Formats: sequence, C-alpha cells, structure tokens
Amino acid sequence: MNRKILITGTSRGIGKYLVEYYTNIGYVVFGCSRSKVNFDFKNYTHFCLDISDENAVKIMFKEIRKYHNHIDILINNAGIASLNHSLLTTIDTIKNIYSINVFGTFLLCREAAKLMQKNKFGRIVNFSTVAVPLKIEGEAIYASSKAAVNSLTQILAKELADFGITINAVGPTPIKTDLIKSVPAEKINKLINKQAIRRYGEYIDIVNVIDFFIQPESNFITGQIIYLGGV
Amino acid sequence: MIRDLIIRSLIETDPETFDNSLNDDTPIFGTKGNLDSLGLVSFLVNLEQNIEDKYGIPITIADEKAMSLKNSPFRTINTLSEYLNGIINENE
Repeated sequence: MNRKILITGTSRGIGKYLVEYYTNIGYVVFGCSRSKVNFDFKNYTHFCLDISDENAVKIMFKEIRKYHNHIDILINNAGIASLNHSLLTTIDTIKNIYSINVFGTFLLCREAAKLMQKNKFGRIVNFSTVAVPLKIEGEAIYASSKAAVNSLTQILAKELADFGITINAVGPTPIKTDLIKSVPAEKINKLINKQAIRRYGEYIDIVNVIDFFIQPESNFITGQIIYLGGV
Repeated sequence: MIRDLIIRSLIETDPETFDNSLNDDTPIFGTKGNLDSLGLVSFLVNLEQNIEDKYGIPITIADEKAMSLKNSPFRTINTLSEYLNGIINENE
C-alpha cells in the first residue's frame, strides 16, 4: 500500500522538491502553503492555508480524513526566517515568525498525531536549523523559534511514543533557497566556516536525513535532532 | 445521539474493556475509571472525530474549561453526555 505523506510549505524551495521526490517514488502526497502552486504531480493534492490558523488546519485534516482516512508521515517544512539585530526587531516580526515556526508546527503535529494514533503508526519530521547550536547574532528570533521546535520535538517524542509515532528533526545548514536570499554572502560564508564540512547544503542532504527518520526500521529513533554539515 | 458516539468511541479505543453493555453510570476516567490517562487521550481524540463526522463541527473536548471544572465531566458516560450536549448546543 502506498504510504501517505503530508508536507507543509510546498509552494517552493525544499517543500516543492520534497513533493516531486516523494511522488516520484510512489507516495501519496498532500501539501499546503499559503499560496497556490504552479505545478501538478500525479498523486499530489494541494491545500491553500496559513498553518498558524487553527481552524484552517483542522479543516485540512478533516478533508484528508474524509477522503483518505489517514496519513503515515508529516514533514513540517514550512518556516520563515528573519535576520536583524534584536534592537531593531519589531513585535510584529516576532509574532509572525513564532506563528508559523512554532504555533504552526505544533498545530500540524497535534492534528497529524490524532490521525496517526488510530493506526498506532506515524512518522513526524520537524525542521530545526544549525542557527540553534551556532547561536548566530542577528538570528535571535529565528533561532529561538527553532529552539522551541527542538523542545517540542523532544517532548512530543515522549508523549507520542505509546501511539507508535516517532518525531525527530533535521537541522539544515544554509541552502540556496528563498529563505536566505536576502542574507549577505559574507554572513553566510562566516556561518558555513563554522561547519565541519564547509559547503552549502543541498536538498538531497535533507532528504537523506528525512528518509532515515521515516523508514520503518527507524521505529527506535525518536526525539533526535540531526544537524547537517557537522555542526 | 451523543451517548451512542461516546459508547462507540470507548469501544474503538479499548474493545477489550468496553462493549455494548455499557450504561450511563459506566466509569470512564477517575478513581473508578476504566481508562488510564493515555487511554483517555485516545478516547477523546476518537470522540472528537466521531462528533465532527456526525455534526460537521470541529470540537475540542478537553479544553481549559473542561479541565478546570470542579466535577470532571470525564467521570461517567452520563456526565460526559451532559457536558458535550452543552458544547454542541453552543456551537450549533
């Protein structure tokens, strides 16, 4: 039976890549983003919503449950970043980043786990960042929102274990996506120089970790944060 | 009827403990309860989904209001039925 996977933030970047990758290898893929998508893959269903909108998230899961019964895997890819000195950071920026990165991630975990618990099987993969362990200046809000994701991942791992659900996180290095397009090259290079392996990350580096987390044999792996690049 | 949904959800959650012979006073959760805390979580999730399917409204049963009531609504089938009828009437 084809496994069913829900991926957030699929309109572009790594999310779009994940849709293409998992549909190509036979998964039934659901995705969501705030905007419509300009692509169409076999076995892909798209939902337009803001993942921090609880009601919209519940409606999406209601639709998935009604027509597809359950999901096996959730990949919480959706996230936003902001680079600014803390003295220049507005409360609106903070609310915006926390709404998507923390509240949205939590809502998706909660609703997905409700569906997964019936089958006593589930895999959840959250997105952290190397900005958490590297404690990079200018990323106080982004990194702290992802530190919250790490805590959620580790605590939900304990709460969901009895339901057969594992939850882990991947912490990417800088990748050439829209998320970092406004960050000066000098800043990115400084960050990359802090990695053991000094290069940009590639989409496939992230997929490799996700594939490890979601494979059936990883049923003893939960609450783990894997950082790329040797951070 | 909400009572039937509660019974169906209890059986779905733990078919070894619950069957169709349940009555209004069957304990669910508490000192004499049949469910442990994890069982209660599963039961409430199943019940929320069954209510959503029946009435078409997303519902959150174990909210702060329910948890802060002096007398827990999760004691018996009867107490939970009364509590949920109130919530559904508010939502309709």
